[in-house]
Amino acid sequence: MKYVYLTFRSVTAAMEARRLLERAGLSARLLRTPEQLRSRGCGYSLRLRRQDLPEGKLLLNQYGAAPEKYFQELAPGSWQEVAP
Amino acid sequence: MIYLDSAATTLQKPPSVRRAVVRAMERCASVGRGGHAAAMAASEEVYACRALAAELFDAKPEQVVFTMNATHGLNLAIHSLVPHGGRVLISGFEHNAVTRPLYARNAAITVAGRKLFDREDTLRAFQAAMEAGDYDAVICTQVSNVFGYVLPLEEIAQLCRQRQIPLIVDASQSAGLLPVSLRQSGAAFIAMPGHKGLYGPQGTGLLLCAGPGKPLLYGGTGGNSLLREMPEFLPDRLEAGTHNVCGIAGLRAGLEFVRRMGPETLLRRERQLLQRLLPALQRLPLRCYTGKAQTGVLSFVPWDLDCEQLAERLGEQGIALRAGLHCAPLAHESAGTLEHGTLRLSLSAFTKAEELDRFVNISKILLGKKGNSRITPCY
Repeated sequence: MKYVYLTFRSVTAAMEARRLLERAGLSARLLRTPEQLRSRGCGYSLRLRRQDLPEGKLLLNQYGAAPEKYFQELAPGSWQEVAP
Repeated sequence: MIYLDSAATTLQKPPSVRRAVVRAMERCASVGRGGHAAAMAASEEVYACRALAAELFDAKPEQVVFTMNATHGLNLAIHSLVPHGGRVLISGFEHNAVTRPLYARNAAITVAGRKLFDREDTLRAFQAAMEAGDYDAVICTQVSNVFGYVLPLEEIAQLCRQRQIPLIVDASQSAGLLPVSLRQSGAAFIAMPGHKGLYGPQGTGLLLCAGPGKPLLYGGTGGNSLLREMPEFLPDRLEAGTHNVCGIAGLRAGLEFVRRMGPETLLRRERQLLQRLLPALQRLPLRCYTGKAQTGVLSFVPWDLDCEQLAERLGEQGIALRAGLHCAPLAHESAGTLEHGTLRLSLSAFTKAEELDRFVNISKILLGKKGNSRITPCY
């Protein structure tokens, strides 16, 4: 699969990260965090194309807007956590 | 109506504010409550307002917390920093939104700087008080809501930074007119209403937070639902329950108006109107309280008529001013006007020079005789 999911602590944090990514020309979609990726209940994630991850990660770290976790989509409904 | 009570609430709003409120009411549900279009529209609207406020007030979006009003924000700030019986240093021009929460906590309050329009004296008094004692917090309004006196906040903030005392700023009368920066001031909290100089609807406010603070309300935040406690991070920690999404949409339009006009331009215009008004008031039998460091807020006292009576008579002629103590008895005590209060005139971006001319003409008739009012600083 071609997407990675970035989970955030709040909808505000997710939207702030999306703003930073979009400003750099990276497209990210705001979604409710899939049930399997939740650790403390409901939350929001960004879905990013896998090829944009290295640049996106660098950018978010640079602005102090890093997500809580990164997950790679293996198949529909199946994810694997990847190192931050 | 000639509306001259903008220090309480700006009645005239940019048309975009009303349109934004209606639009949000039609399409927005609740922030962070679901992934459907209406919930996402609410989240987008509220985030856009948060990001714009962060840009205007030099903060990060997560440091912007939505409140009901400035009072709500000040209560949150005081609750976060001042323990029961704690020691607090405040200016002589604070509103009840500051003093009442402190009285409720039995705080030991030191009041510094009581000379109206004397910034040097205010600063000296703060410096002396900080040298003499330790405080859990310093609380200072940027502008007196009664007199429009601009306090030396930058310098007071510098004193707080040097001594590492947390500073709470009441920006109720300054937001939208004077520079407000969370980062540069180093303040712990800055509270402001949405419905005055930011031209948003009533029931909106902002609290800029350097750190997470202590919640006053506990409840749902739309995320981290398995936690028994409120989340540790902003803004969720201080925003329990459903947001005033329609109000916040209106506030966003108000903030856009302020950004477009420019706070400096808005302040300059208010000051120009006030300078144009003062010579005319000088010919009336009343005492004006005015000084160099003043916004578009002016207090005055008629010589031979009760303030409330004059406000009532002006009201009958379609002119809206507020008389009394303006919820700031401490400020009146400082200025020596506690016994009778004052009549307060306050301007906005929508005040017209002709309206002030009409106010002067009607006041002339109501006050009945010519006078020679004292205009220059009362101290």
